[in-house]
Amino acid sequence: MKARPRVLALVAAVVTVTALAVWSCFVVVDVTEYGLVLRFGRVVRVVREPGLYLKRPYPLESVVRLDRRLLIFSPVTAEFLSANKKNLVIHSLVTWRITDPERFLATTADRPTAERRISDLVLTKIGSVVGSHPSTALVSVEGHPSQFDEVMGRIVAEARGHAIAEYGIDLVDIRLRQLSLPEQNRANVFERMRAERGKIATQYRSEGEREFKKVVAEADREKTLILAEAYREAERTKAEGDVRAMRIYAEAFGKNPQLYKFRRTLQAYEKILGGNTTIFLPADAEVFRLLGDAGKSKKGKSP
Amino acid sequence: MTLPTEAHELEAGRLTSPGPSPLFAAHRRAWILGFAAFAVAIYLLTGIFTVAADEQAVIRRFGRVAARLGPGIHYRLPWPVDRVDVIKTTAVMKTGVGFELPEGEARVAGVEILTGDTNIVSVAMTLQYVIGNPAAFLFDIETPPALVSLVAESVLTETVLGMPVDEVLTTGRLTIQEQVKTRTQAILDRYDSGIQVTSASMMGITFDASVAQAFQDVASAGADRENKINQGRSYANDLLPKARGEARSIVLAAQSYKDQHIAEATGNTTRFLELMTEFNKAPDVTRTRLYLEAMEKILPKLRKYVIDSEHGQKPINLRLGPTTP
Repeated sequence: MKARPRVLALVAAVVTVTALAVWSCFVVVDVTEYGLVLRFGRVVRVVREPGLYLKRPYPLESVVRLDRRLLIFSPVTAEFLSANKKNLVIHSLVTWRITDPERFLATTADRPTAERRISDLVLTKIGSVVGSHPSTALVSVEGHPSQFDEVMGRIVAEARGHAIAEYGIDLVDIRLRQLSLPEQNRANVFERMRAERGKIATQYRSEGEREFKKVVAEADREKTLILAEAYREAERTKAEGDVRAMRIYAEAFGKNPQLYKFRRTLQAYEKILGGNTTIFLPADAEVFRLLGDAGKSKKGKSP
Repeated sequence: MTLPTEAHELEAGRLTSPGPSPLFAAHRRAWILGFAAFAVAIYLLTGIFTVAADEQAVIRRFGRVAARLGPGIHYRLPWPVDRVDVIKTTAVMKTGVGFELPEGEARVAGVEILTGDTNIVSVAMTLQYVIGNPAAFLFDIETPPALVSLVAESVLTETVLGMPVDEVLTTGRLTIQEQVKTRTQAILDRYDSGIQVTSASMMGITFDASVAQAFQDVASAGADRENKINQGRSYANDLLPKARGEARSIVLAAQSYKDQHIAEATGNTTRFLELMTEFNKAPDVTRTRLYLEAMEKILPKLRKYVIDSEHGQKPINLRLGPTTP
């Protein structure tokens, strides 16, 4: 009765250990990782394809998994001197992945170390490439994308070969996340920006003033033209009227000038001779013809 | 196999502490088998999962991508054989460029960028994207949302670096959005990220407090300019119609002057011609009549002196006499 539990415990222990050992023979390598099979610390197999694999049980062989996904890393912001002695503060962005897991494991082993290495490498290359270009290669109004791409391309090309050969790391891309000026230059930049804006504002306002004056002057000129044209037209019309009237008069009166003269003179008298006019009439005036006996028709007047 | 048995022994021991129940003892094997079957069934049932209408599922069998499933109820082999990841593919995801999105959108500062003419501006953008390829999205990239945001930020920086600030503020806005969208997409494609950028939109451009006023002033100067020009135009628009009206009335006045004079002439001459007809019938009589009629009208109003011209030189005396003009 006493031996039975002991036997049972022994059997249970053996079964458990065996199960664990068998279990450790199976290795699942995920699609997101590489599997490296180590035998006493030495790499014996590199598994690059995901799937289920067999290996020797645990103490003999162990597995190290390395991320095979695209990894993102932002090195610290650093200040660089360009070829024309301008300081540029660059915050870069590195995307990388492990392409040679065996080499990676041998040289860097873990991610913090890898990032430190990448940081050193990338910052050095950025420093040397930026240092050999003027700042206008990166900051330019003309929009030199070729120049920008060229600079970035050189940085990537120079860092890339090194990273693969040394650490088994593929630097997929190095990008400029931010590019700014050192803190002590900001005040100057803002000062200049204010001055530029002031100039533009003044220019806008004076442009408005100029345009206003131009429009007003043009309007005034057009007004003058319109009125002058109207005056010309009016005078021409009036002249036409005068001419027509004159022609009518001449035509009509021409038929009997004598009568016209006579009538018109009489009409004129009616207008000329008013209440305070004194007139001396010869006795033989026609009015009085029946009084006297004259044959001449003579009129005289004095104002 | 050992575990359930032990559990049953324990359970059985507790339940039947006075002594083995005859019922249990009789069916002991059946109990154990039933329990084992139940456990296996539960285990197998854990493989059932559902995919909602806006989701897709990716199944990994032993780490290898095995299937991509759409909406519905599905079955996979339970752990440790299959693993399933369900993600929303039709839902549009949003990420902020230069700021964290969940933050209060009112105080979005954005990322400080240098423009091509060395001005410092802060630009905030949001990027929308959908997952085009779930497997790539899940397994090829470490943190896809962060990657989208960071790549977009770098494209934004790169784009603005080649632009003068005035362009950034005006016509460049659209260019920037377009560039950020297409170039971010190009880069993400190069990374095989499975991400589809649907839109990039600029939330705002801000300036450091020390220069914001100056930029504001430029905007109001622009408005001033427009105002001034409009003022000039409205002056012209007011002046010219008036001038045209005036011109029209001048011309019309001339026209009526003309018409009036012609009409007068016609009237006068008509009268004259009528008169002439009568006159011609009896010229002498009519002439005398007209003369006398006129004199009748005129002479009563006048002071008159009648002088017999053949008998004396009186007029001089008379003029010096009682009448002075």
